[in-house]
Amino acid sequence: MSTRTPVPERLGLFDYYQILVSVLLVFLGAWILLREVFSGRVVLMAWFLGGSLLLYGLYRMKHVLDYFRKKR
Amino acid sequence: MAQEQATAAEGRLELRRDVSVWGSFMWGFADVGADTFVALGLVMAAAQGATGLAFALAGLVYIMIGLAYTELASAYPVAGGGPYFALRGLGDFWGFVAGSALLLDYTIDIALFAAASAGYFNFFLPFLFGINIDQFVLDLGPFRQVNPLWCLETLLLIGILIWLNIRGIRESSLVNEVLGAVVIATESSLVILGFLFAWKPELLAQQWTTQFPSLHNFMYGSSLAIISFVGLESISQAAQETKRPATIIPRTSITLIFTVFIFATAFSILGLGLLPWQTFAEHVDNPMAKLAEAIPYLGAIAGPFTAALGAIVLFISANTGVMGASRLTYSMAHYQVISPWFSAVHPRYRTPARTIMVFSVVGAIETVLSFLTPKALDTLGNMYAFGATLGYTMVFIALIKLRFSDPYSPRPYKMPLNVRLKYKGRMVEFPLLGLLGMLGVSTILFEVILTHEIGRIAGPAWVLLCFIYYAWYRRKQGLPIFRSVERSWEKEQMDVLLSAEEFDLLEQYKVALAERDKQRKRDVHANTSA
Repeated sequence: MSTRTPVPERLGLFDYYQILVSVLLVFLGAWILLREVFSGRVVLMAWFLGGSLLLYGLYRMKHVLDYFRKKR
Repeated sequence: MAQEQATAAEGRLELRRDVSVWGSFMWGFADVGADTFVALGLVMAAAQGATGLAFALAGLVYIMIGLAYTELASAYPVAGGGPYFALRGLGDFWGFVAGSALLLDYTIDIALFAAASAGYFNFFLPFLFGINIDQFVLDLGPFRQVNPLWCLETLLLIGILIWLNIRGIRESSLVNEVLGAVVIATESSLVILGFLFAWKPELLAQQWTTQFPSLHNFMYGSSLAIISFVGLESISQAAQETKRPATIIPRTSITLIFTVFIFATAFSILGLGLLPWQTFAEHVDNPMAKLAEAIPYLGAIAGPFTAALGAIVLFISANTGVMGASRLTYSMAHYQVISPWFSAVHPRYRTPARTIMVFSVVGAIETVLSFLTPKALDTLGNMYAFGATLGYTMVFIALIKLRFSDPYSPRPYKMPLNVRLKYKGRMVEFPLLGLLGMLGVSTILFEVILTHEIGRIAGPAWVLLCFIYYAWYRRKQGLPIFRSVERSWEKEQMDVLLSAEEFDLLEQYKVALAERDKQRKRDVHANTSA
């Protein structure tokens, strides 16, 4: 009985989908932040959105990396 | 031995399939993933510049509802869903209240999604026939801005759904998986390309600061945003029909919850950074197609493609309303909440024809009534929000109650944030997040009652009408109206776990019950010797 979801023994289509989404979140978050930096304007909502996407993506990527580290 | 037991149990309960994790996820996504196609325009029209916030707040509550369903569906993998949890945790009467609320939602689901599907089809009318759907708007006596063509299209779609379901023709798992994948790919492409090439944060900020809605409008919009998250009952339905649900359901449902949340909030934020909210409010029948059209270079193709996809997936979503009503009434009849007349099957097609007919016709009546108002989709959404929030409130109360009254059933997944308490000599875990979710969804229910002029009257009237039927039926059968019928939940739980092939959980359950019985004997012995 756990508040965490079970970790798969082997990766399937579903897990590859999850990994792809994590990579896209990091990419999109970083893109929005970088664009704001280079545009020279300060729109707080863009910073907030970019930061949220990037952090959430990195959090998911941490779990992906932990999984592969444990597998090794 | 275990195999024989499973076979025997399968004879009593519905057969389960080997649904993969991907298949289970797509099952839910094909149902819930399409909802943003409807909600975006309705919420934009009410929450205006604060639409992103409205989606985010409703989404947070929805995440908690989803986690509650994940815990309950993996612990009690039966298709009855919310009403079953309420019946088991709170008794027959509250099970009936939750059942009537969700039954209202299923009928609205049929009407709302069929109307929305027709709305996306209407996107093509100017290209196909050179006409616009708004040309057909007219005043009929006291009824203003009635659109008879759109109403007829919706009724035709409902008629097709009735025919398909009575004949037993349903979309296969493969169709669900392929369509779900196409929807995910399309929505992801729109989000990524939209944010990369078209999103203007300054437009979003400008709409936020200059077009912020009144408190009344914001409350109305945030309570309508719950439409984006229709279909959580599909988690229970997947749990009923999946082998080893304890391992599959938590993974797929949590991914489903967060995927839908991200899409819903992303589209609202993207939309406000692409176009003024008024554009979405004007195209409430096909807002996603308008959003796709606004993406540079790809818009000319993405717009019509999104409209076609919207028409198909919303039609399938309307179908889940027909199927959901059938499953729910079957479960309610099984627990003597409604008459078994509803669960009778068609002699030739072996489908629950009566339920399909009755509740689809109710959906058709709701369609006609809603089209007599100036904003048909808004009226249907209004009604939907009442049923959903009432039903989900009951689910949260049941979740908390079941932690105390049934701590023995193994919970493969538990909502996070629990406080350990001593209750009647044993430790129980009180779900803080469950309490927070209950307060959140009750707040939305309060918003609905406060701001939805039609929902606050029609919703309770529906529940009252169902109560009259329930009281008549229970009285006729010599059953109590407010008290519960005696049931052997422990035996039923064992049968369910057996049919789900959750043998480890079954063992854990038996051990927990044996320990409880031993403790009871010790207590009785201690009391008699004292």
